[in-house]
Order: sequence, then structure tokens, then C-alpha cells
Amino acid sequence: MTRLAFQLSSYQEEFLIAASWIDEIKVVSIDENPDAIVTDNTDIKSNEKSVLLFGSLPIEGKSLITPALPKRFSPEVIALRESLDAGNLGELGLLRMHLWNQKKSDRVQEMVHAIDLALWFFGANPEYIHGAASAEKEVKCSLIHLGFKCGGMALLDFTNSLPTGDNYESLSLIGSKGAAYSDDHRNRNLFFSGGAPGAKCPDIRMNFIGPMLKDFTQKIQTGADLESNSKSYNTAFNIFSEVRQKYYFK
Amino acid sequence: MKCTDRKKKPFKVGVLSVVKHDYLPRAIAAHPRFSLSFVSDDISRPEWTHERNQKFADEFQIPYIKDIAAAIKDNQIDAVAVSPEAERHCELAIIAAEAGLHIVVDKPLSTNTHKCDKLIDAVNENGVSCLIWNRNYLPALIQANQKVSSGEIGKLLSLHCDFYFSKDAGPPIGSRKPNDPPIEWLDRQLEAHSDGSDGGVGTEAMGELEVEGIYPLAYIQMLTGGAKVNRVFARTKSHFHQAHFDNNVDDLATVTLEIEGGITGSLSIGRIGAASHPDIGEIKLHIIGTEGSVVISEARPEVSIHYRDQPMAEFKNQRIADQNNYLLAENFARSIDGTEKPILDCIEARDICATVSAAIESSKEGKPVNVDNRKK
Repeated sequence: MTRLAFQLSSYQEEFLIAASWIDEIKVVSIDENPDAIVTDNTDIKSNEKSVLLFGSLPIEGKSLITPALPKRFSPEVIALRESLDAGNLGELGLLRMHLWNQKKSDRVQEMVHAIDLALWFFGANPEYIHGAASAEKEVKCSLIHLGFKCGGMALLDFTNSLPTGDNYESLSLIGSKGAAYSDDHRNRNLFFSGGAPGAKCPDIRMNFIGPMLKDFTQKIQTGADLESNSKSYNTAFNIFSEVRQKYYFK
Repeated sequence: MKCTDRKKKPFKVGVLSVVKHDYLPRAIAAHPRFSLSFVSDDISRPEWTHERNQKFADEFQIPYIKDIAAAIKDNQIDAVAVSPEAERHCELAIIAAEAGLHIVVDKPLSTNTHKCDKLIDAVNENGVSCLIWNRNYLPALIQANQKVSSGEIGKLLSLHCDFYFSKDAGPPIGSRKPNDPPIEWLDRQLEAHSDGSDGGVGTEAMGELEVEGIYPLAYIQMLTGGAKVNRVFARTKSHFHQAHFDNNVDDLATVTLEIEGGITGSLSIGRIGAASHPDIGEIKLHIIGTEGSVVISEARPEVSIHYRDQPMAEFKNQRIADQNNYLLAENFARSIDGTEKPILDCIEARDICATVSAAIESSKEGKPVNVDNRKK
């Protein structure tokens, strides 16, 4: 049993619900000497406890703080990863992602997590890094293009152009034996209330929380390397920074 | 949509070789403003080409003339439909242009921009029309173009095309035994004719970017209103098929496109194998403007049909209302009339050829490469 404390400025309720579904987790308050803390506050005093930091930029040098990598735990990514790991898709050749957010979204976090996902799927750092960007008014479009030593490639398309409402995500894995596609286009249902119908996905945006907490608590229980998340995050962040610097992301 | 003008006398069309897919001359034959006069090719061509040409001629009950110069000289024709091996598209189109004939030619136009330039010069000097076959009139593309050209999504900022054909191309990569000889490109293409996956037929090995890249790049060309691609960065790989690996050409590629007017774009393309999609492939457009965004599936509209004992190779989703071939033929007729520009002309196809060449060079060099567009 891992005693987890939650201190989040947003989504606290969703995290508590997800934690309540996991046998190995006991939710305690921050004053009850938890085994670990889940928070989005980078200034939190951890008192030598492990911290899962969600949705904020980690501060260098704080070794006990583990950046959350939520994209690795979304239901579609889990299904794709399982298929790849089972060998059904063969050798991964291409990861293609479209990630469209709203103007107020945290672009840096989104892009860093997407880069991490690409590196995680390929299990390697890229040999070639390229980018391109276009912007007008408040709309920004960015493209990150990675090439891996194995010859594999990743092409990640980002924008913050969407109006208030849903985001849009599409992820494809093209392997030597098969391919897997996950996208919000395919998963939309239609809602008619006059005029053109609305098209909405069933809301599974927060479904990553449960698997992410499970992974975190398992690592604590087994004494696994919690720093691997930090290394992965920093590698992805450095790639993002390189692209931003070289290719004039604004 | 406009009415086909049935009062006008049909244009007489000579078919210059029909050795690849025959969809192009069939589409021309099916349009009321055209009638086929003959099939022709050079006598020096290999026997398999004569067999295919003769078969098509027999079906349409027109003569097969094994001398292109004589066929053009002895028959009063207005236009030609050019559908030889991929590497001869430009060569035969140039012969036709120099003879003052309008041209509809299969894709890709060429892998060599100098050949394209020669064709453009011949087309300009002889005042003829030249249409390169494409998929820009598919219903979903018409819809995408309407959305963009109407200004509904504001100024275009970024567009991305995912273009995966779920076709096989012979044995999978890694299947060649140590002492086996490499696969001959032409042998493989001849074998592929039966299932229509011989888009790169000929002696010159062509990768997926060279054979099929013109389709998505023509989408991008149309949707940007003809903006030129200035610079590219690309990665390419032989990832699926032994024939591509043995002949050192790609079957998987990604390209970053830096386009005139501050537009960014990208293309991911692959011949990903029949097992990788239930239908012809995953083909999508993602378009971002200052006022809105669009996600388009090229396959739509479609219907799903499933039944007991359904052949494995049969597509479960079937495209419907696809009038691309008719509309291309209509566009060709109108371009000959002088009332409409070809939806993809030889200058545009030439610059697509330049984009593809730059992408291949970029992949080899591992750095961005400027596109050698035709000077205005």
C-alpha cells in the first residue's frame, strides 16, 4: 500500500477519484506523513518524499521530483504501445502525430510530452532534428521532424489555433508489419441541435490518471528508478529547445 | 459542377502506350467529349509492352500501331493520352507537344526536372494544353478546397498530408536469403500488374515519393492556391519491401515543407503493406487557418460492406460518389476549349518533381535543401 497525498490546483477531484479505484493507493493528507506527493506546485516542500509533478515545468536539481509523463498513459497510447510491444506492428518506421490545442494551452508542455512520446516509442534519441513554424495573430503552428539512427522517423504537428472547446489529437504508428491509428476524427459522435451537427468524442481526457498513478506507486513500492522520468523529460525538453532556437518558434 | 457540352464534336485521342494501369485512357474513353482513335508505341519496345498495348486496342476495337511518329502523322487526332512506363511519361508527352497535340499524361510526370522543362517549352511553343493525372477532384478534396478557397478558415497557415497506400510490393524486407540475387525492379513491377500495384513500372526504380508523392503534393499545391515549396527537410527509408531495399529506393518518407507566404506543411507517405489498413490506406489532410481548422479523410464518403466468406483482399469500406476520373477528363476537354486551366499542369507538376528531388537529396544529406522551382 502506498500512502499518497494530492495537492493540485486543478483536477484534484479527478485525481482523487482515480486514486480511489486503485487498491494499492491510500489517499492521505499532506500532514499525514505520506509516502509520496502528487502535485502541480513546483515549490512544494517535499520533506525528502518523492513527488510526481503534473502539468508544470520541473525545476532542475530537485532530484526527488519526478515529472509526470501523462501522454504515455492515455488509453489510446497504452493500446498502441501494447500492440507494438507484442510485435504485431513489426519494427516501428514512422510515428505521426497531430496535436491541436487552444490558444491558452501550455504549448511547451504539450510539445515536450509529444517529443517524449516519440522517443519512448522508438526507444532512442534522434540523430536528426528539424523544425518549421508559421504564425499569424495569435495562431501558431509548429512542426518537429525527427530522424532516428534505425532509419525511423517522427513528424509532430502542433497548433494552438483551436477555439475554446475540445482539443484534437491524432497518433499513427507505421510499422514494418502493421500500422495502428488513433485519432479524434474517427472517434467522434454526432449531436444534432439545429444547423450543422456537433461532433464530439466521448470524454476520456482524464483517463490517463489511473494508469499514471499505478505506474508511480509501483515504482515507489519496488524502489525503481524514479529519475528515469526526469531524464526522459529533460531529453525531450532539450530537443524542443534546440528546435525552438534553430527554427524560430515564437 | 458544370454541364458537359455534348453539342461539341468529340476530340480524337491517340493513346501513346498503355502499359501501366489503364485507368487514364479508360477515363478518357468514357467521357463523351473524347473518342479513342488508336494505340501506339514504338516497335523497339519489349514484347510485354506490345502485349498490353494490343490487349487494350483489341478491347476498344481500335488499331495498335507500332510506330508513334507514323500513327500521329497518319491519323487526324487532337490529343493524346500518355500512359507508358513511368520513366517515359515526359518523353512521349514531348513528342506529342511537338506535334501540336494536347496531352493528358499519367503521373508522375518525371523524376527529372530537365525533362519536365523540355516538355514545358514544347507545350508553350506549340500552344497546347497538358494535364497531369491526379486525385484533386475526389469528393473530399473538393470539399477541402471549397473550405479553404472560400476564406472560411481565414489565411492558410499550415497543412499536412498523411498518405499511406496499404499496398504490398512483393516479398517483405529481410526475406531475401544470403545467396539470392537482388530483386529486379522491372520483374517485380511486371508481377505487380495483376493487382494494380505497378505504379512504378519500368526499368528505372522509383520510390514511393517519386511514384505517388505527386498526389498529396498536388493536394497541397491546389489548397495553397499554387504556392511554391521553397525548402524541404526529409527522411526516407526502405522499410517494408525487399524490392525497394534491393533497388535503393524509399517506401516510407516524411517531408517538412516550407511554402511561400509563410505556410508550413508536411507530408508522410508510405507503401505500408496490405495488412496495415482495411482499405486502400489511411489518407488524411490536416489544415490550419487563422480562423479555423479542417480535418479531411480523403476516403469519404464511403460505405462499409461486410459479409460471410468475404475475400480477405476485398476492401470492407468502399468509396462512393467518386467522379474524379470523369471530372479530370471534363477538365481536360475544357482546357482544350480554352475555358479552363488544367487542374494540374506541367509547370505545377514540374515543381512537384523538384520538391520530390529536393526531399530525396535532403534525406541523403541529412539537412534542409532548397527546391529548384522553375523560374517565372
